[in-house]
Amino acid sequence: MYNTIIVRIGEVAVKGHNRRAFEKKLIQSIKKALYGLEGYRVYQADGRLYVDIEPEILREACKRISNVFGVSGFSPATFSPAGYEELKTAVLQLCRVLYRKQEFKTFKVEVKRQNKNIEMTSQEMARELGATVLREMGDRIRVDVHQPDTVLYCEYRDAYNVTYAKKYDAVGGMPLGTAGKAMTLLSGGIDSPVATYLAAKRGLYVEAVHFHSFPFTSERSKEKIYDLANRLAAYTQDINIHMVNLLPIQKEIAANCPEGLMTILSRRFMMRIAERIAEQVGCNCIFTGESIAQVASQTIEGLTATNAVVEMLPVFRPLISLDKMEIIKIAERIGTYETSIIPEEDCCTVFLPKNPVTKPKLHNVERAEEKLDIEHLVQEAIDQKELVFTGGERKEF
Amino acid sequence: MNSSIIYLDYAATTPLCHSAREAMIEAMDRYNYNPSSAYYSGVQVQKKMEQYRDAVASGINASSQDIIFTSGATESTNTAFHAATQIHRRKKHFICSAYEHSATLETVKYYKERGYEVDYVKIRSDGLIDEEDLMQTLREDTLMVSLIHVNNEIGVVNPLENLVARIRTKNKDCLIHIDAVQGYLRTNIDVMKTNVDFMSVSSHKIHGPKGSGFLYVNSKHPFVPLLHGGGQEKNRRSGTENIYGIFGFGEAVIEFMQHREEYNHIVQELRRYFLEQVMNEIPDVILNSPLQSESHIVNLSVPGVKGEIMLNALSEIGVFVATSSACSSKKKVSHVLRAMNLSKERTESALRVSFGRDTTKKELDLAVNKMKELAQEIRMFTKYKRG
Repeated sequence: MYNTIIVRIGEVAVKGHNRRAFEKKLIQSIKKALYGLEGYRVYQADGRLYVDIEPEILREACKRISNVFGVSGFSPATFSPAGYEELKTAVLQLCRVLYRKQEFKTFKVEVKRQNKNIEMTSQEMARELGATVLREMGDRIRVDVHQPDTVLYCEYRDAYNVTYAKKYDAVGGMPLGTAGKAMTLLSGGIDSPVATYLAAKRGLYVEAVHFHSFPFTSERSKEKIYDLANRLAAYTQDINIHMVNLLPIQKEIAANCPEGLMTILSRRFMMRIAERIAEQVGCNCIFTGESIAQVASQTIEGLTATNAVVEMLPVFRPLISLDKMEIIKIAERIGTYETSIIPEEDCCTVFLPKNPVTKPKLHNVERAEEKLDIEHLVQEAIDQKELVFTGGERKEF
Repeated sequence: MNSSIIYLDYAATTPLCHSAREAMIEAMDRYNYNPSSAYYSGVQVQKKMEQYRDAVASGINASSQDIIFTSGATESTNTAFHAATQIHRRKKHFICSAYEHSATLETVKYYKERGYEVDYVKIRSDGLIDEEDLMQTLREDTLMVSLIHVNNEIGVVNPLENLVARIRTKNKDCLIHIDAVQGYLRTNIDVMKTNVDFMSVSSHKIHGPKGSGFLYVNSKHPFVPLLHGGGQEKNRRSGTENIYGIFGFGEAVIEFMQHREEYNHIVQELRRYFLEQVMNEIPDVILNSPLQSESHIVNLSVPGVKGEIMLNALSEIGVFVATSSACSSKKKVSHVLRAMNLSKERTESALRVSFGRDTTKKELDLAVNKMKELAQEIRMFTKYKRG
């Protein structure tokens, strides 16, 4: 029955003269999400987006569209030929199909008219269409205009009619690429994939930097990152991952600095390197998965110490006030959780100090670093990095 | 396996021996018939399969009619538990040791969730199953005791004969299942002397192919199979026989049995040599296995060096060892070492090294040398004995 999907665009709709550009990006995103399916057409009409579909891809298309950033909701709908009698036929069919799928007791009809040829207000038309439905369905259902189980939406338009009943929520956010590009710090843990997802949700393309301590961390821990990136790619599109070996830097820190500062000093290097790469590849911000007080290095003092080395770009921490359980919920929903919890050593856990300093004073941290040739270490790490391109193909999970 | 690799993980799996490989290829080329078929060639396969049944049975001095070919020890163990529940339907109490292989632990967990009671026998600090605790948990209504003969992570050899005798003295009707995966052919097991009801064995730990093994079942018991179907294996395990796996397994056993003393001696000598080297070369190494053991497995801790880091770094240079059982290494902490009540540091820094007849002393020298270098390097990071 359904031959199209009405795509609602939420926040995009309130954009002023940028709206066209946003819509264009959104259409691109939807097309990318539907890539590989046969039998669809994405276009703009009636001040909204439509995705016409063959019935056999309806379910899959809805699933994919619901995950496209910028889509606030959608409705499977039916185009039928123009004309009032045709509209009656269409609403009857819609009602029958819905009732067969799942019985309901009460309904109402809502009408929107673009075609004003008939001498009737929208309310009158709704009443008459409702009566038509009641005649057909008998006393199995009745009208309730206040809290109906089902609303039958009818749009009486010049060139065609549109009928639908269900309004589904989608992921929301802004279309990818409308906000710029973020560099995210992607570890193998639970938080950073969620932060990456949230960056993309507000319309940012993402690139990622991953720090490892090969060969002390395993090949498998790299595979884990590729797997996470592939899962994220369902939302973020392709992700370039800059794989940086932190081990030489960690060695220098271990040899020259107090043990308790290992984590903080490592993280300062990570931020320096992330910013440097971000600037090289045209990212205009940095995203991390930090959350206050979650671990020893994420106290306010710890965050201050790591933040202090970032010179130009803003650093965003979308999880800053979320509890672990809230983060896990998102991770489960976006499908990264299962991979994140595979136990693998990563560069942060490899050399966890026995007693990490939880409230580092910035000047102490800076003094501890004095023995290190920071510029040289940063540059060397960047020179040695590998660039891995993931998410080239759409993965199903 | 690749010649540039130093493979020291024989407890996880062993290389396929030449004769097993040949037998499997022959099975694919010449004997690719259904052993249940009535015509000549089918009967030939059947005959050959029975010869291999005799061979694998001889490894534990069993009668070949008590041998059921399976897909490996996990299936054997599951079958044993299932069969046990059908032998004495009223009894609802299982006992196993706290450091069984996950094939056993997960199976008892499954029954526990379905109303069975389970007791886990304590492990002594020397790694042996605590006999006194076993005797205390043993009840009149205990359905089955399931024990691992040679523990797969620390290589300790439990005194089978003695354990079985003590169980029998207190409760002669209690069923006994032995996980003999790591001890089969490497130690002497004689079911004529050691009166057990079930025993699970796997082929790929003794240079046979993966996906093959057997369950020894004492025929005095009625038997309800786990798999129903065409009635193969005398109605005890349906499904067309995996003749490639059985042929390979059988040949591997024949080969092993022919050189059994020699092979086991080689491995003993390698174990002794490795321990000597590693204790001399790397400061503060702690042995988690017994110093003397018939097994091919050594477990040791290098304090200040996380086992996983050592494993990763060794693997990068082609030395393959393990941190714990390959089947449970995805779970972070070894349940075996935890059952022995070892400290967190010792558990985290544990490594499992296991040898085979193809291992050479030269390889061990190289491996120990690498381990020594890495231990030094990593201990510098972790400020071992400095912080």
